[in-house]
Amino acid sequence: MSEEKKKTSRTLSRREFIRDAGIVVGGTAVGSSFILAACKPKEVEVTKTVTSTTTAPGTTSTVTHTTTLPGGTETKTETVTKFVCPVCGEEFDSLAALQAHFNSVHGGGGDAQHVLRKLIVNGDDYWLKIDDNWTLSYVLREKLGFVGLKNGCDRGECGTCAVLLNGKAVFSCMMLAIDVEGQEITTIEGLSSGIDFSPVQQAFIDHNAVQCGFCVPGYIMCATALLKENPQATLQDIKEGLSGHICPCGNVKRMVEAVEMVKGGF
Amino acid sequence: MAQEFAVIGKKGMIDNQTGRIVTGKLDFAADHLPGKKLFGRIKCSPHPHAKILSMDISKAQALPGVKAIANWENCDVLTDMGVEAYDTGTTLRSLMPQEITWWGQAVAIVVATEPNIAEQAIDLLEIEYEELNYVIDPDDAQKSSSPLVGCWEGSNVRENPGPVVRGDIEAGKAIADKKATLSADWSNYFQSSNIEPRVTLAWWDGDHVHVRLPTPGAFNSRSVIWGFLDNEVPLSHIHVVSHGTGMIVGDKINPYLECAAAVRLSRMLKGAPVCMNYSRREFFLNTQHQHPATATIEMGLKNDGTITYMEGAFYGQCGGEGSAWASDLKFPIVNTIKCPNVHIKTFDVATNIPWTGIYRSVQNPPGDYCMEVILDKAAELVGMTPYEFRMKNYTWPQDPQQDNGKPFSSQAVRQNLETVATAINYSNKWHEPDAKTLDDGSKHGIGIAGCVESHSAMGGSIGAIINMTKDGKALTNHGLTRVGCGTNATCNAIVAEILGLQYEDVITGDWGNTDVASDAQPQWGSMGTITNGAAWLKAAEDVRDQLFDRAAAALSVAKQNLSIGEGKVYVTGDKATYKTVRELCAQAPQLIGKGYSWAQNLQRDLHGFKKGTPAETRCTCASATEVAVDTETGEVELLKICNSIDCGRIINLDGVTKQLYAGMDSIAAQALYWEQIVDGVYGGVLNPNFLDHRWPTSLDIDRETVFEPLPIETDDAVGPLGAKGIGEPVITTYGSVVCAVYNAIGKWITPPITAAKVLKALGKA
Repeated sequence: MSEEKKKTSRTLSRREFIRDAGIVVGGTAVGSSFILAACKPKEVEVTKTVTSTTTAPGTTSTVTHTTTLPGGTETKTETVTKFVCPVCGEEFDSLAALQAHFNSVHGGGGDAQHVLRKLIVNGDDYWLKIDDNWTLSYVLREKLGFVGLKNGCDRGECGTCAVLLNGKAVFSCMMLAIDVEGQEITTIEGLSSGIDFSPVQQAFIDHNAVQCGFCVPGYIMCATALLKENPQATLQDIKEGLSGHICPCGNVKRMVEAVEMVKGGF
Repeated sequence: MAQEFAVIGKKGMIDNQTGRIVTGKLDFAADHLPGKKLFGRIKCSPHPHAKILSMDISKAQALPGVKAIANWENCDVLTDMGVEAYDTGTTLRSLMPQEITWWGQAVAIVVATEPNIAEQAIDLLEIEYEELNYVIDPDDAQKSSSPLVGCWEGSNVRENPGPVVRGDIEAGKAIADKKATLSADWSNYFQSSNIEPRVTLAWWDGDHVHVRLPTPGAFNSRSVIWGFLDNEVPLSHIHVVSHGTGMIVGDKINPYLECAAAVRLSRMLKGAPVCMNYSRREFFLNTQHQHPATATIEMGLKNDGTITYMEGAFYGQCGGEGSAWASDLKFPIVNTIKCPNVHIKTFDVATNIPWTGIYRSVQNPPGDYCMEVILDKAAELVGMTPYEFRMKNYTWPQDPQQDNGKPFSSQAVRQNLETVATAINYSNKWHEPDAKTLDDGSKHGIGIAGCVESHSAMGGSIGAIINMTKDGKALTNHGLTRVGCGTNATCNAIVAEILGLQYEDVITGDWGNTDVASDAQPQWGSMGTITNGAAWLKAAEDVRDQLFDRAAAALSVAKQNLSIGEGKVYVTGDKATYKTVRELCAQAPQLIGKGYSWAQNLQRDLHGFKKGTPAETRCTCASATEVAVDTETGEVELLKICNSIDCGRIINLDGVTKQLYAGMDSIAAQALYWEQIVDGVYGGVLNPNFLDHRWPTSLDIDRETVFEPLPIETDDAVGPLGAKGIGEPVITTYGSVVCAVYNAIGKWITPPITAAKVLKALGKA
């Protein structure tokens, strides 16, 4: 079974659910993907996998009724499993009822993969529900926890939200997350292990090219893309490449110098 | 300065948070609790002056995901939202009043599960306003016919107490060879706009509140939050952590509506995390701006350029909230210019523009701008260069402060001015206004400015604690937050120097955390280095004293015969006889050092004043600027800015250098770029964004060739190891750019000096 990491507020693990429900991981049986996708907790749940097999684990909510029989000498516990709609959170007694609801109310067409979208971030797959009007920066920060990118303006004027999309620097606040489904996204967290730094990160450290630090991840991402495309970038190339960013601390010169230190060694 | 140091003043003091910053791991307030917090948005007033008559929240309330709506009337969660309402008292109410006095002021807050939902709900609020008369122009606001702004009773103008009154004006008039009334027009209204907007994240855990926010002072913020909670929650139950602060230059100097809202609405929502993270527009409209200023001074002059008297006033324009700071405009008169006969008043003029308030260098930049223009005009009258005129009339290092008689612990404005004048080759480059054309047809100009800035004083008494680890490292937990200018690194360097350790052997454990550190002087007033540095120095001396006790016992020598350095305590004159700091720290009990900052008194005899005399501690600065003005396009090209600052003693060379470059960025921006434009017809702000209120980017200024930082050292007689703060003075003298443009084209142009203004001044537009 592929190794997975899961982010959820529920205590029932995916392994436990799959084992208990008897559902095939990554199976291609008709409806199996729907089942896995449909059986979701009320909260948005994100599954991270490190193989090409992707699953959307489902969980159930369990209600325990305790009945005291006449005479008070025995108790009977009945466990009822509910199936939770991933879109509206409504609970149903059976998978069939959930499926019917999903098809009629949410127009799922029987395939809940339309509900979940895949983002590929730093080489890992993430399945999650994404509203049409969510920006990429919002999803990366608030739904996937990649808070290294910042939100200085939310309108493409400051550069603090810069990430790489298929290797090119973009302002994630100016993109809708649904528009980048399936594309390679790299955030500042993906540049290094945190023990060994990327060449650009190391240059920023060696040149002491930080002040408050808020704009730095954006500058580093942009510089990374720039040098990847043009390892021999001149000073003017670097200044042009970074001109979409601002640094109100007034540390532009230091950061430009740090990037210049890297060229050739990228 | 003769004393040699092992750590102080050396390169390479890399902030030990740099690794976290470059990997995105330094936590800023809004980074916490992803996916688990509610978001607040502000409804901004569409009127510059109005009274809210009613607010129908029903449609907003009905939007799925909306959790709370607060306004002047209820300032709490409405009962039919399913959450108990409670009386918030007056604090939140006063931050969101019923009478609006500027366009964009907050009239309601909506908290929802997503920012998008909160923004949609904002648009669903149905508000009825009674529009009131308003005034935008500060000259109009002073007229008796002007509408009242609404922040003060009865008038839009306030005279500040404490005018500068000195000597005998009539005596000054009697000896003057010339008299002239000189003035500077209103300076620019702007906001330097921190890259991280105002933000507070708060959540409750029982009766404890946890707060994450960017602040120059975690402990000060805790006290403010205590007030937001009506002083009912013990301070020990308010847990403030401020690790990342996306720039603090006055904009986020104190917690305000966003913090009050987050803290109180979270409590009302049963402790759910509430994040008030201003959008950029909200930030421009609901955060302080710099006050514009103007000055008119009647000045008496002798033919040799000596100023015999000054009489007049400074005016500062303040916004609709009535935050009055014009009293600080007078500092050039108080500290920089030597004149025995003075009567200078200051006035605040309220207008219905967005909030003005405390700012980086507070009122020194606009006040200094006014004086630089007036001094240049005066120089022309007596036929002197601006540099000669300033050197004729600037105060001397040994001069006591003119109004209170206190000695300056260091004062180097003349040296600063001389330094920049030499660096830019002023004596060879200065010419009469509009007299020099460059080969490319542009007009050359040169300007100079200097200031005894009002900051860098010793703050209140604060403490520091050093925990020595058993392997001989010094662990520091800083109460000081990290704003990026290197103050924590500076304090660590002081500790390393006193304890004979390497800089890397002093480790910052935590900072800006009210649960861990001891109280610290906030990072304002450029007091961080001098005040906190003093406390850390004393704590390090306490540790050193204990190390000496242990070493004396181990080596059987008298304590006074010991020295420390290179990680060892050794017999003075016999380095071969020693104990390592590590060995000494390994003994029980743990070595802990405690220290407190000291009062602003001379630490040694100076200029005839005895050690212990109360002193003035100020930073001095000067800049010289060279420009080329294209008279066809109106564009101003910066050819050179030389910026000199008196550091007292440079502790953190990297930090000083970065601050000087940052200062020149800010000087350029204040002079050429920044202006918050308020429409005179409907009172709305036209450019609450970075695109139109812009920062110079990497392409706008050729920083490698234009900027020249020139720090000097004077060994301050109050500061720790002679150091003092520089964070604000570095930006003050943007008047040098204004004066340079005048020298180029012979026209005074108020900042920001845009191409349109230049062409208009030249009669070409």
